[in-house]
Amino acid sequence: MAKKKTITQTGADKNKDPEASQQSTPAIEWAVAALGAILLVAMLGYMVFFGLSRPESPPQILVTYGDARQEPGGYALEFTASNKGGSTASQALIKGVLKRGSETVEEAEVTIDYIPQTSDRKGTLTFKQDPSHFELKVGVAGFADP
Amino acid sequence: MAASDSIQRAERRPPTDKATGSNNQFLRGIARAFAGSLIFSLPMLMTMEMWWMGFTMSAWRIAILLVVTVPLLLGLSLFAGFRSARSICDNIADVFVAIFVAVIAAIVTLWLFGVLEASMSLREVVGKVAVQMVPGSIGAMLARSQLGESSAEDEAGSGEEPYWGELFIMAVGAIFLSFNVAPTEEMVLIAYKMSVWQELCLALLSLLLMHAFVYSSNFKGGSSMGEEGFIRIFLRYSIVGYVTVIVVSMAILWFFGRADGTGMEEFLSASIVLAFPGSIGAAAARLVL
Repeated sequence: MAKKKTITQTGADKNKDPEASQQSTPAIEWAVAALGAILLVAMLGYMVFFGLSRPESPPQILVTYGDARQEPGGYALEFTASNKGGSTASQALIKGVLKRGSETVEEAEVTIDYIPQTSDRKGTLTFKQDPSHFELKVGVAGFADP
Repeated sequence: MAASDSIQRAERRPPTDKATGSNNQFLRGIARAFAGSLIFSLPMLMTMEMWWMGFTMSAWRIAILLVVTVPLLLGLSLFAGFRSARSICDNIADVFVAIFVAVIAAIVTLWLFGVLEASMSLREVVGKVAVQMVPGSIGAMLARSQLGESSAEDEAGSGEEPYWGELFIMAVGAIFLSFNVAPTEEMVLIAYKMSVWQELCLALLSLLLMHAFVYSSNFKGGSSMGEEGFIRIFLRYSIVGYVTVIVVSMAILWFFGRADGTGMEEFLSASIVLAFPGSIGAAAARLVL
């Protein structure tokens, strides 16, 4: 090791060029390294920012949906489950109920594996009867901590 | 001393020729880093629990994981680096190149797999990439130092590593192999299935396997075997090495949230289970690097 070092140093002295001693780190490598540093700092900065601005809080699931679409087997109701809380919900059970007055006509449900914080997950509930003829209620029945 | 000859030859070349030569060498190194990053991180890129870690891990833990990765890579670059007579700047450049390669490789692969989608929040995307970046960058770093370049130089350097340097290499090997299995449900399941006696046997087996690896690596190296006795190697490398691996396992389990709300006994048994691949990784790293 010592021998190698002296050789490199004498080589550098001869050339009188500071670049020569680091011949193995060309400018392009520094450019790529800088990009890597920017990526790391961006990811780190974002995570710290997220940690500071959104302290851990329980999941809050909000289900939004549009009109049901008629399909050969029945009616498909597409929904979006958004987690507005500060942590991930797992096994979220999304339930849709068709009601006429106090009487429940039909129920449909689906489990979504994970709804991460600040993220949306899409799904579909299928009904045999047209939801537009009844009172439709769609919401989350429950979820677990991952 | 083939390496010093090549350095001398490189010095004699005209500066412009040398610059393009080293650029080409750098691009080859980048290609090698991408290959290494994928080889080492594909098992994790294709594990769904690993994707989920991107959002189930809290932002703070991901931040800590990112911070810890930098000295880890720097140490790896210092101890397993392929270029002789390097300055600390060269090593730092290597660290960030490895991070760049790992991030790009993770983004491209996860996007192709449909794991990253436009509808996902930035938090989810960044989390998924950040978690994959850790094994990927270790792979990229190892590939640049191990696949190709002058292997004669590596052999010469490996004997001169300080003791804590060897422990560091062992810890990296443990991190590497543990990362593959730690996020999976099976880790906890195996810990549930094992009795206390089976766990003790597994810990013993890990220790013995590790010692066998370490002992044979010393034998292969030749030099240190004559100076150090069996007991000394066992105490200095195998015991201390296993303790290092257990600590690494506990840290990884904590990062992946396996320690949260888990009883001490369950946490310990999961650590012992994880330390089994960890100790193989640690011993192999010492053998290879």
